[in-house]
Amino acid sequence: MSVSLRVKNSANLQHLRGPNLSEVLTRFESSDLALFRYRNLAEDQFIAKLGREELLIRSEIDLSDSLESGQYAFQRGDAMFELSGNWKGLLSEVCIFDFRQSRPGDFLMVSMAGVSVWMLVPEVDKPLVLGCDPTYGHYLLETLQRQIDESPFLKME
Amino acid sequence: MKLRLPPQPYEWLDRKQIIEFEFEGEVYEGFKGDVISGALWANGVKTLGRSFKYHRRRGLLSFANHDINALFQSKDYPNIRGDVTQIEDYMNVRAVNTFGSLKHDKGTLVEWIGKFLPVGFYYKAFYSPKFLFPKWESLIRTMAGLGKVDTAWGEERKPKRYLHCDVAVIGAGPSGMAAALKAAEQGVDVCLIDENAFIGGSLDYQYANEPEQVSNRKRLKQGIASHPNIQVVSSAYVAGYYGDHWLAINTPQGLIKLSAQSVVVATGVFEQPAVFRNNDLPGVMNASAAQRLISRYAVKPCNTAVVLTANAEGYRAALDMQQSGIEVKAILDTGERLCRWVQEAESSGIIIYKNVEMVEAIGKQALEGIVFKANGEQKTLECDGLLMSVGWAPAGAPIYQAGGRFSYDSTLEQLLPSLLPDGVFACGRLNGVFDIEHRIQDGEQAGLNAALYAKREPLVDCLDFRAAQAHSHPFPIWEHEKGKNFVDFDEDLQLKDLKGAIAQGFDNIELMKRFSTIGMGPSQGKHSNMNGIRILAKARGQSIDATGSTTARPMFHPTPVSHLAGMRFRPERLTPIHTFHQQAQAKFMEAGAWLRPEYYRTGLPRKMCIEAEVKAVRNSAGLIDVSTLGKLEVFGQDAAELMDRLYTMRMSNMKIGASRYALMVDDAGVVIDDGVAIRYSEEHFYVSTTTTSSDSAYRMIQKKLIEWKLSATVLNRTGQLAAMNLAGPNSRKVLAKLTDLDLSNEGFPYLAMRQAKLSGYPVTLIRVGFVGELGYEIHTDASNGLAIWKTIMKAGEEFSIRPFGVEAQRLLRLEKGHIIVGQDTDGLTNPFEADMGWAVHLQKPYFLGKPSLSKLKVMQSRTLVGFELLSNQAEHVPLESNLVIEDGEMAGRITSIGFSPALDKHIGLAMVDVALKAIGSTLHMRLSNGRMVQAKVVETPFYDPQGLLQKPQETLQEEVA
Repeated sequence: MSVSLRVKNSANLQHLRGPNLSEVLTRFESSDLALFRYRNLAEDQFIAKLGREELLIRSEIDLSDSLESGQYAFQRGDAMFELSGNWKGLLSEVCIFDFRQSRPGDFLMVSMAGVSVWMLVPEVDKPLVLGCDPTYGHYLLETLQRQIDESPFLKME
Repeated sequence: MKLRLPPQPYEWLDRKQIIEFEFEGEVYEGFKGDVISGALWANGVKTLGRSFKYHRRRGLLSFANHDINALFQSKDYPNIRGDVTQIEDYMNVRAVNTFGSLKHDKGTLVEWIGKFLPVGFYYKAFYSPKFLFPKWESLIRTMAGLGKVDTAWGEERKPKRYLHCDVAVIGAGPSGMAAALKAAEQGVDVCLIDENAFIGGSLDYQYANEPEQVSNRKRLKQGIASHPNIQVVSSAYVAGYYGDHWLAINTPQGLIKLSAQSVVVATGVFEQPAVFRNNDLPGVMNASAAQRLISRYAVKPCNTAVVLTANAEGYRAALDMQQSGIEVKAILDTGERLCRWVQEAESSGIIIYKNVEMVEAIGKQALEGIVFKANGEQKTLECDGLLMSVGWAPAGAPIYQAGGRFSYDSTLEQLLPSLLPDGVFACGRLNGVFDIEHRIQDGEQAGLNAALYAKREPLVDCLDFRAAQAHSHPFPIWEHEKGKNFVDFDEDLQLKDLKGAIAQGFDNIELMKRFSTIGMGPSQGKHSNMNGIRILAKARGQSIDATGSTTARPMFHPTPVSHLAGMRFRPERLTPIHTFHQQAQAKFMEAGAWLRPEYYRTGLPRKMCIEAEVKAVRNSAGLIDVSTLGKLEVFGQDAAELMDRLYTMRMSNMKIGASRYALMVDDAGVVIDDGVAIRYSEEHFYVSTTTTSSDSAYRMIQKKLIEWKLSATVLNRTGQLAAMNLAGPNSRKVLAKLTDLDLSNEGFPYLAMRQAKLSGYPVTLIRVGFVGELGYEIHTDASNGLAIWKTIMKAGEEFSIRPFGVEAQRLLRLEKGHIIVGQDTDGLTNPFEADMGWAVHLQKPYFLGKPSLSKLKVMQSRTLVGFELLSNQAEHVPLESNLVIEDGEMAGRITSIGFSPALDKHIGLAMVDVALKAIGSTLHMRLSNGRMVQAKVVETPFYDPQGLLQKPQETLQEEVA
């Protein structure tokens, strides 16, 4: 099974920090969202719970106007990618994480080829979405593509 | 192919594909799947290599990845193992370690003078006279070693992989397969590793002709193939066993790092050769090697065989030979034994000699016959194959490396595991279990317990399946007065060599090993150590356990450095404005993980490019990308308190809309970072860090937040924001074209911060001047960075604005006497030494490092001073880190130096003893070539000491918002 890599647009990615974020979760019908889990909202939109007072949201809804006191929203311009096919095989060459421990819907933060990366663990046979600091984007893209093109392990699978 | 057999039931060949390859200048044919040694043997080539020291002819011995006398050299690789490396079309190999050719090797002269080269001779022979040593060294280097390394090799890196499982099973023989299947049936993930291309192990060569094993073979192999929890990693060996059950698995594709919860070691045993005169003649081989040759590669080991045995397996081998059409002249049993295979051998008409002793092989270029004694009578048999089946040694490297131990079992005459670390399980022949059904059962119980261990469940008691009789000869060594009875085939060590070493006092196993080099060849003693231990034990009258054994360290087989190195992951960061820098011909430099423009190339020499950038900033306007600065958002109820504790200056009294220099020290008072802090609101600060310390500062602050239990949040937004610094006397005019913001001194005074829009993009502007001119630091979302940069460059065209790089900035800041943390400070510098006592507010109740700084304030022994060189001659210019010398002693070092176009002289900063800090003092600096130059201590800043240029016509002196 081959693996393919695609660059994704990261527009509308927001990082929310602050107390009492339950209202935001309710607004996205995700009150029951557990820690380090994410939920798809629509095509290319999701909400992920990173902590009691921390959310990562990709949505066309601008939240900056509806923040309560003590809540902060920061725009994020992460480099985002989509991996289809044998993404576990590819990631095993750049990441120590044991993906047997993850399940669909998990929001993971891992180190990949020396770069901190977050990822949305997909349903079986669906593509994996991952993102990183935008300044590392070109490096991660080149590194993953090189592995895809050259890895003898991947060629065998 | 003279010795090729008809298709065998479990052969590894693809007979449809014929492969031609070249060996020693002659072309041979083989089938796809053949290994080099097997294909040559099939073609009747029995001399595969020359021995290391005496250059004696050598053939097959183990045929199990330990045949060090059958190593080959190709154009690209040395020391290719012929017993495991497959032939390929157009492959061209030669034997290693020959002088001339394999057939006519001049190195055989060494054997003629062999009696003058006893064990350890080189320790004693070459040290005197000393002047001759270089000649000896040259000779030794020419004679020693095996293949030739191409020193013009190119870099080669193979990927590494991480693999995770619950149970790892090393070895896919009958026990290993049974263990893997049983473990998988418990619902755990299993990884089954075997160094052969196909699983099956001895089930497919030692039991190939046993009809009773057909069902076991089918059940195990099909079970493994169909079980979703089992991953087979074949053609791969466990190179090392490390803590927490991490295994390094080497594969042709690269290294796999496997993490397991528990490990089953089912690595089996190495067949051990017997030691007798001429036991190295081509045609003398281990019985299991002959069985592998037939079963896997359909090659006859010989036409006429004699089997020397001390166990039942020898009889099985004899039957296998007979079944393959080989004439079995006799079985020479060193004792007497009873088992089914003995009866079958007798029934098949094979002559059996019992209680055989004093075996000797005869022949010139290959085995031609054997001489032996049976029941006191000497006999001679003609044969071209002598198969040795005299015993086994455990392939115990993984257990040794995991921290386990072995001890000698005198019933089995074999080392057996006596201590297994938690989570490590052993089974099969390694564990002393020899009956095939028992081996499978032993594997099953090891697999079950490994699975239970991985699931944190109680283990079950195990049955003892160990054999009740020996499968190894206690001393398979027959001394001969004429010698040539080899113990170590890698190092050409004979029985007399080991006896000589022991006689000289090297009678400890470790000493004997190092003096004689037994076990130190490429096979690492896999077929010599056990006999070596037996010889030493007998010589000393000790037991095997008392004699001890050597340690089996990683790697199990030689592992290519390209595999160990793996791919190179070197993260690299690019700023949001990188594409502009590329188009503007920037010469990039590394700053930590970042790539930054060192300067912009204009076709002129580097120095002139940099000076032009400096002049642009001093005379009009320049723009530098400072997106690499760390950028931290600090917010929350206790944000001000946190800022006060983190930085040496008071931050809680900063006005909203103001900025302040932010200096950070560690607990010891050492300067670790600096930047600029601004205050957005009562509970929201934004602070920059130096380029390389954003991550470390962020980590440290997070740690302190927890330690101090403050209600605040810190976000590292370094990569999410772009930043640039517009500087120069015309910078305000450039900016005015792009914003409605009041940029006047009154509307936007020095050190103030403003949030505004620049060409429609939201930005934060800070009026600070690192380079000593009117300047604005512009911070914005990374996505807007490039557009804003281009807009400013466009707006600045009428002022001849230039982008400037790191080198120009370093010079500009040096002229202002501003330090760079990490360059002008070191791992011990405190703020008082850096002449920055003004940035330390000891009146604050607490800040990080305050207790240390309170003491250090009065303990200053060195200080940073500015200097100018007294000579401007290029050859008299010292470098950064050149020393300051006073009275012959080191009195300091240069931290920064550069030529100032504005001052037309070389200026710099130096960390010197306080005794030298007086203005006008002469500093004596030692150049790299040892010459001395002089400099004079001067006031800093060197340029615009009043700071008028960075706040032109500005009367207000205090910080404002």
